[in-house]
Amino acid sequence: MGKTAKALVIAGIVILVILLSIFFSIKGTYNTLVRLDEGIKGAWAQVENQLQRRYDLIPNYVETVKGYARHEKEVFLRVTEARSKVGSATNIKEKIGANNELSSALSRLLFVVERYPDLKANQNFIRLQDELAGTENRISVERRRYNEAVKTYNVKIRSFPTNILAGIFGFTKAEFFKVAAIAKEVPKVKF
Amino acid sequence: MIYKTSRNFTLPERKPRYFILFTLFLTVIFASIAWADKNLPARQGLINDFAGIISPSIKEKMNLLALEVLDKTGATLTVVIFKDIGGANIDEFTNKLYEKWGVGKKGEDRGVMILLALKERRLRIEIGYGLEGIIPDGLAGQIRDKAMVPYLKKGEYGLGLLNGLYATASIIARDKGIKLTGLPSTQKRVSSKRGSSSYGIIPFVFLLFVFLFLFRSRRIGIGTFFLLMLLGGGRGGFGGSSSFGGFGGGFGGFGGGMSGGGGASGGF
Repeated sequence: MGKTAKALVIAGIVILVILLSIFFSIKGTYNTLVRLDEGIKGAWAQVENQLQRRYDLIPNYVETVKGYARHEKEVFLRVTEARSKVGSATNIKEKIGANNELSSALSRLLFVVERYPDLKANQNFIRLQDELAGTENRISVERRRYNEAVKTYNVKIRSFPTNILAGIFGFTKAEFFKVAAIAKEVPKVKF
Repeated sequence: MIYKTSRNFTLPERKPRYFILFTLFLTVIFASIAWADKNLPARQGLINDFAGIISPSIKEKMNLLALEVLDKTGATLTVVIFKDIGGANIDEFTNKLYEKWGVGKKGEDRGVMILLALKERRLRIEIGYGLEGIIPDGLAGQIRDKAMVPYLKKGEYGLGLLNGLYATASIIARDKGIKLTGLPSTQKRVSSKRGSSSYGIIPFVFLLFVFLFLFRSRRIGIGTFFLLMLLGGGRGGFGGSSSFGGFGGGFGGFGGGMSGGGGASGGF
């Protein structure tokens, strides 16, 4: 083998090594993005489970409160309307908005409940109140985990050089579950 | 000159050892920082009285009961008492502590954490994912109201907690069709303490020996360096070993279980 041939072989090997390392780094990044994206979907599914749980719990709760606080029609109406909006929301952004609205309607209802001591002593109501408070807490736990997953993912797709690949493969920013200021007051049910 | 011309990748003779040891040192430091979660304390066992208000006899009763439940049903009951939790939201605080300690087995998540914050005068019963079915929030609320709050209001914290623990234990036992006797079937576990901190270091000691062994050959190429970087980057894998290790290497009640925020809380 002549000197040139030898040089060509070495150059070939070097290029191959470079190509291979590029391939593996792309593969690694892409797979990480897929894993994070799936993580967000899983976390969101958990959030939706809990939102659904609250959605199912509300009619029973409202009925019980109505038995003692018949005159608070306006509050009941607000809750019922907000709940139906949640039912008709389709995408993640709409669902977050509708649920925040429902949270604020519920906080109003919880405020009203405080004025009825007989209701607060009712065993059935106490159980429902615990179920509702527990569900609100579950929502906030799953919401926190979802937001953590979104944060990790968003940071990843925006940092260099991952952002280039994210752009090529169409990974876009995920939506945070932000809570309206008033909605934060809901889970605090005092006994 | 010590440089060997035939093997260009060989580094100067004495430097690499220090460099690699330094890297190893950094790895250990960062690993321990990652494990030490901000303000959340490490567990002492199943019963954690950080406020020091429970009498030894009641504490022993709680411990035996929790051990028996763990033994017979595989569910972890843990009690935590704080002087204060810095005014934090008890629901969020308990959930984070639950996750940090990993109450119950990973994936099974059969665990309950009963947490008392004395200064805040609040109580929380946190139910792991795996027990939500048999202890729904309403039932957790009943345990709180009927078994615990009446005692806590009078300042009888030990009795209130023991009673709450017993109520929770009997629900789990009934579900499994088991009778509680007040004694775990195997006594040997009682004496064992947490061993996680010392067990967690084993991988590093092992690594150290591997490297020391490698250095004997005196031919540390760049490959060793990369191997080290690789191992340094993969330290996350060792984290798991710290969750086990208590109780002589077996499952001691803390194995990475999670809670989704089920349960009940209230004041007293």
